[in-house]
Amino acid sequence: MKINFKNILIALIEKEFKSYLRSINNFMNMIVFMIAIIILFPLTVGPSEEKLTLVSNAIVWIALIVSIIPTLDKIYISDFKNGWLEQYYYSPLLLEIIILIKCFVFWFFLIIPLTIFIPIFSILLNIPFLIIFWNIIIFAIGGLGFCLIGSICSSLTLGTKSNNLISPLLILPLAIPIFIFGNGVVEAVKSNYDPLPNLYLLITVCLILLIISPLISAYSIKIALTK
Amino acid sequence: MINYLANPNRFLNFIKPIEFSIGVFSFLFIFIGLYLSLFNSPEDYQQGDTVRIMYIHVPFAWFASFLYFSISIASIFFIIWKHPFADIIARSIAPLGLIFSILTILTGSLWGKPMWGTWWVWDARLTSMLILCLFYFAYIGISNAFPRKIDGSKPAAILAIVGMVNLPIIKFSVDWWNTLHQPASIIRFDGPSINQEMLLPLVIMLLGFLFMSIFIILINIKTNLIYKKYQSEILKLG
Repeated sequence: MKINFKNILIALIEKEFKSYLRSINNFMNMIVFMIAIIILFPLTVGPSEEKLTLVSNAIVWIALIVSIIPTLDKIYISDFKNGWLEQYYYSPLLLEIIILIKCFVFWFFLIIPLTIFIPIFSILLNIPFLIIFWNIIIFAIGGLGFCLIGSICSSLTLGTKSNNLISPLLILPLAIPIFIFGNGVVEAVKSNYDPLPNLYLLITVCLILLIISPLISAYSIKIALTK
Repeated sequence: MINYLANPNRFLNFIKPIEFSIGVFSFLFIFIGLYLSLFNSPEDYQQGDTVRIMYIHVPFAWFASFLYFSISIASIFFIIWKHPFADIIARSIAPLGLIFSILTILTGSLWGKPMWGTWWVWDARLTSMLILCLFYFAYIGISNAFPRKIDGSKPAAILAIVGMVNLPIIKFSVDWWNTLHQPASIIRFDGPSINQEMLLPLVIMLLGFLFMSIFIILINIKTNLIYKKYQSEILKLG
């Protein structure tokens, strides 16, 4: 039987797209959560301009990361419960490729829309425009890394009793290089250095994850399916 | 040899005569090491008496990372050859490693307060040790997170192998970055730069900790094996 890979790919992307459109509620929750964090910080740190400019960039990052983490570990949960994962496993397409597609779709429908909100929140915290621009680039690139790490963690915790407690613990240590190099870019821009070396390192981390993550996730999904 | 010992019963028979002597050795070495380090070693010309916390801080730190390394090796064995005994060994090492990494951070911060003036700095060596601690937590968490305990073995093994990237970062963090933590003084290309009189108690303490961790791990392995046998007996009774 001849298999038309193009049709399978289009069908997959269409299915993912529909499922994200139908769970738009999830996205709104993330936005509300981000707004809550952005409002809470000036209230707890104190409204003085000097203190806020020191930490304003960190506040935006914390808001983004904390709002992503609860959704990151649920990439495969609904597919696992509905039996989609088994269908993926038995499909002629490699499981690794399907995982890559899922990660990219997740990135495209959750991370990229969030970058639109970065300028809005940044203006609330008086961040200069140059840094807002770099923040968007870093978050768009690092977000792909977050998705790939989330793919590892959510596939490892498939079928656990309480998966909310472990996932942040798994995601944080793996995501530390992204934080370090992302912060490196912003610090370089702030002190008028060349931000490109740190950006290249950030891209390197994401590329390494792009290779490793589908392999590990596919292996752990196979384990989860054979239980 | 490994093939022979991979059978739990033969392993238990093998360790039965030597187990007690390992415990005695660990007690003796730690006792002698503590005496030498507390009463019979020179003070540091800068740090004074506070240098003596080094004699337990260094063994804790070394064995925290070494035990993680052995968990990863056991996990690789488990993933490749799927031998259940490798999983039991990895699970038995994890709690001890977690305690060692916590104690490393605690003793380090106790020393850091009088010397550096702070309990904690976000320096490369300290942060990577904290991440090791997080990896231990994650390993123990994920290996016990499933309704059937045995389902957690493979995800935990994968996590242990992924976490191995942290170990070279811990080792070389003091060389790659400018840190407040002092650079390596024992394992170096040009030989140890530490004073001979300080090296002797440290080596004895390291030996003592080696025997102590083997002793505790053996007890953990025995407990886990007994638990596994008990569960299979329950299954048989139905």
